[in-house]
Amino acid sequence: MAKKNKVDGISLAIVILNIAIVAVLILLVVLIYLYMTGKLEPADVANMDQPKEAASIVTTVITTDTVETETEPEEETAETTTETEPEETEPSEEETEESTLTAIESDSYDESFFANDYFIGDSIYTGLINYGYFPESQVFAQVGLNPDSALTKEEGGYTAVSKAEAMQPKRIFIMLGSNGLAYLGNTHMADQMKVLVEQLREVCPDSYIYVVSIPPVTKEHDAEGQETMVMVNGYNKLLKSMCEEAGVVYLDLCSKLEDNTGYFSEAYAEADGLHFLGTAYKRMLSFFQRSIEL
Amino acid sequence: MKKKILFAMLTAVLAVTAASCGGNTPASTTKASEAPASTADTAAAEPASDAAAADITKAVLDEVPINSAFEKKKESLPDYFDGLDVDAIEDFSYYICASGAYPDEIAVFRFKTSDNADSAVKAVVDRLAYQKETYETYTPDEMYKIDGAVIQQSGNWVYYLVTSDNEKAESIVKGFLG
Repeated sequence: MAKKNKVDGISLAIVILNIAIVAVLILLVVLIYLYMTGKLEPADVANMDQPKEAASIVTTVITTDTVETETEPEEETAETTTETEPEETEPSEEETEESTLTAIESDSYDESFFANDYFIGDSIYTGLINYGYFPESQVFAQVGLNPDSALTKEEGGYTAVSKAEAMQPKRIFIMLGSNGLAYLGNTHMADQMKVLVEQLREVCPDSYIYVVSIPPVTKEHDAEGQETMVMVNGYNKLLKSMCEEAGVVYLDLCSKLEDNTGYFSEAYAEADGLHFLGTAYKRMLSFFQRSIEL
Repeated sequence: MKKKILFAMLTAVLAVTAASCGGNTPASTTKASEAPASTADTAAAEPASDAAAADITKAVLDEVPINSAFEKKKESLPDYFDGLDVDAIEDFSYYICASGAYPDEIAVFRFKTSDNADSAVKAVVDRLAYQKETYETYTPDEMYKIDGAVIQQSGNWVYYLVTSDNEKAESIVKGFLG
């Protein structure tokens, strides 16, 4: 008899437990309903701020892309190069200004677009080979290379210029200067870039030459003081002036890799705050292609 | 405020429900860092002849990570190891720090013969010399990785380690190769 009472007690407990579970489920359904109808805002919960930030980034992408596609690029001037291809245009002044508003955009690009192109750069451009974006034959890149040493350093028996001469590429992209910021002086580096451009133009008269801004640095890297955003922006400004004087196209990659605080976006920056993650190369190539095709 | 309390209650109820549903069943996933046995210990049980180069490098990377680690394909090996006879390679795995920021790299080769392995050592030594020349003025802080680099031949195998903890990396490789 006592055993039966005990069993009844357990049964009652199970029934109560079931009722409790059903109550919890009903409560859950009500909460979901309130949330779905907007009567319950997730922002009320302190730990749910992150998704809201992500949503605002998506909004920025749409907005900035719209701004760019609405801009009419100017045609490349006769002074710039002797090229005749109508689709190749130089980004206008306005376009360059507006590009500084953008941070995160499309990362798509067409591999075949760059099939006959040549890249000159420092350790950042070694990533083009390391990640397999391009074969060694299309890249002259060395760790520590700067506008000074790019005139003389050799790799595989070639200098940057003699390799270009042998290749006769359709386009040449040069990105140099990050290494000299701390000790070479911005004016000297910009002058040396001009020498490099002139040498390349002499041996590759049919190639389009694009001078690329040096990339930003992260806030943490900036704080270390060796390379700062003040230095980066100062050098890029000189580089842009040099391009205008020399009649070559300046590509403002720097602004494309910045976050909304003006530093190198962590989405693209290696842990040292200076080099590229794999994602940054896609971003860069996409930007190059879009800038040229527009 | 009421909404906060409501959400807190819901979270608590869900947590309790989830915990009770789990009962005494152990968690199905365990973080690598929480694994009781080290990778090297596990590997030691494997015969050297059966070890795959990719398993060895993966085990090293699990314990001694490389920033922007990227595995290179066979056709690109001559770009990094000048004079290496790729046709003599039976199996290999080679990771580099693709961003170019750091000198880290891990290579494990199994050659057809021990003579092939013997010949390949020179290409690996040359690679290390190149890295040393490249990085000694560029990132002196990283030179400890190169100065303590490991190049070792073991029968048909050759391994090359430039990492933040070369000693640990080598002990993991030895766990596979003996």
